[in-house]
Amino acid sequence: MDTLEFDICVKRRSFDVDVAVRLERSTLALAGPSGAGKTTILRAIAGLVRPSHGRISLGDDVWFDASKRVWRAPDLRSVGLVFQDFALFPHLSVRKNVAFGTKEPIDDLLERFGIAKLALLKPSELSGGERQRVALARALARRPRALLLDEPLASLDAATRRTVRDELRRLLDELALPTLLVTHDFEDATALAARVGVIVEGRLVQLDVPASLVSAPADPFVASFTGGNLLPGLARPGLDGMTEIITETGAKLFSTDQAQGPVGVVFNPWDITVAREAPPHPMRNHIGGRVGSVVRAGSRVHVRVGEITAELALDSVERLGLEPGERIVCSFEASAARLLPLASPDAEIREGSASSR
Amino acid sequence: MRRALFPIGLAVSLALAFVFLTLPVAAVFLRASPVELVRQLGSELAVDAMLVTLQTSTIALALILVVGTPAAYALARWQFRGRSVVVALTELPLVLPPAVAGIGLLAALGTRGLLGGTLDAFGVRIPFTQAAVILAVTFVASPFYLRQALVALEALDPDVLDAARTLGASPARVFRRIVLPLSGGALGAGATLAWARGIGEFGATILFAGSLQGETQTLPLAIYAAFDLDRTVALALGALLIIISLAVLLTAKLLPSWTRSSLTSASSAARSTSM
Repeated sequence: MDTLEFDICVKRRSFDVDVAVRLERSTLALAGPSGAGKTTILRAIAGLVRPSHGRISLGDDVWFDASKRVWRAPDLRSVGLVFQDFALFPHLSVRKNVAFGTKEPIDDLLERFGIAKLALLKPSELSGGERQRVALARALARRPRALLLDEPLASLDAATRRTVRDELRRLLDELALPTLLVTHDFEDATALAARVGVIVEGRLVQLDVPASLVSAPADPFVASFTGGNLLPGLARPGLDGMTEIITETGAKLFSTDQAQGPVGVVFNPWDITVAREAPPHPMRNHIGGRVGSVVRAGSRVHVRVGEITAELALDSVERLGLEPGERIVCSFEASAARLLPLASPDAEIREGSASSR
Repeated sequence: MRRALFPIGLAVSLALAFVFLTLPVAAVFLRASPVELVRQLGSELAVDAMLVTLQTSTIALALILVVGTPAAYALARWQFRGRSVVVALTELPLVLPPAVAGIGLLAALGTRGLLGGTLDAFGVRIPFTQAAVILAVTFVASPFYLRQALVALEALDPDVLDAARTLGASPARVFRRIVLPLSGGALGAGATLAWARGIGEFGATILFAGSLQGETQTLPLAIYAAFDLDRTVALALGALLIIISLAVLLTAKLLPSWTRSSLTSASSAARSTSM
């Protein structure tokens, strides 16, 4: 089976995108903040951007090797790329769009993607979900040996999104191709990919199964990306081998993790309990705040308290009768507070610019 | 009372501008009867000029399209140092006085010009031939096309072109199957404008190609020649050029909006509806 392997460096104005991944017949999601270089990676693999150095190969085919001066043009790489806005050809019908990359008959493909009825329509006459199916069918018509999807769900509305996501998941399972998909949504990444690679400023900061990203985030961004809470602060050794953290908002927290200096205090929404007044328990963490939004999701309720998100059982919320605007206290165990070293470029820049004046 | 003065001032200015700009055009048709105008178009001078103009402007337009379209595409797709200087210099003939263009072409390609010796060695003499008319017309008219083409080609969604590449299309096929169909209307409008500028060309042509009837004498040159001989022939040729100009104006205005409407519907594709 084909293995997609790349180890590339692409020079960009603000930072270099420098990522190495090995991918067999499974889906890997690349996640990260916008502008982190995720799309650049897809474009480099497709041959639309030339890395300054490194190597890209699929199975025995070497598409790019800087040291051997190998460069395969995009049209000669067996790869399907689905663009974020689909990039359908506006002047061609659905049928001609799908047939663009192949000489083989495409009727089965149109049927399979449920777009046979739309064959004669122009892209402008389609809904978002339909356009996405056309874009996928068009990319797959060439029978590519690897698939690249750039934010496949981003331009769809919430209702379409869930259906399309389920369809896409089944399709990816069926295809069993090395697939790289870019997303900014952790839920989408978890639903579609076996593993998630988190890219921050052009670097792969963590590559793991989604559950491990949540339970053991290697980077503050990973923590906030997975939906955990993240409060930046300063850590110093405290009593009883605990670490004491003063957050940027002035709250004092405790953690069983050892750390010193700038850290991110990370804790899961489901490790939080709420009460109207701080319970008298010395080694617990308490953070007060006003209730923002209260959103129900099944038997669980997501409550926003200041900068924190708490996930509570429905009955406990009903018992408390939480209303937006009320003051409450969030509590969690010191052992639930994980500490991540926080590089604080902001502080450095502030100091640097101050001293240069 | 005073408040009424401003709109009256606007209306008077508009009326003045409109009358001033249309009066000479109308006058050409009013000085001689339509029958007389049509009869004079049959004169030898007029027929020769029409043939020369048709030949030279068609060849010039072909040159502009064949070289200009890929050149504009290269400018639209490539980012390189000095690109803006290149763009500005290709637009120079737009503002350059045609007489300067004529003397420049002579200095470059004339028998004693920059390349004159080289051309002579190959037995090629350009000045005062039909080739000279074609080159003069191409020189002054090409920026009209290049500018329009550059704007149209820069407006193409780069993702759409990249998508075609990842679907196995060579750069040449992308150009043929995607770029040309998507920008065809705007390119057509640019070509129409360039052609219109070409058939009206006077200054560069008379200096570089002269005014030999049946050889280098185009319609504007024939008007100038007929001016002293037979004013009615000049008026008839003028009327003909006016009609052509009106047709060109209409085409150039309609062509891009015709394609634009098909492009707008494509960009409204950004909306995503659930079905």
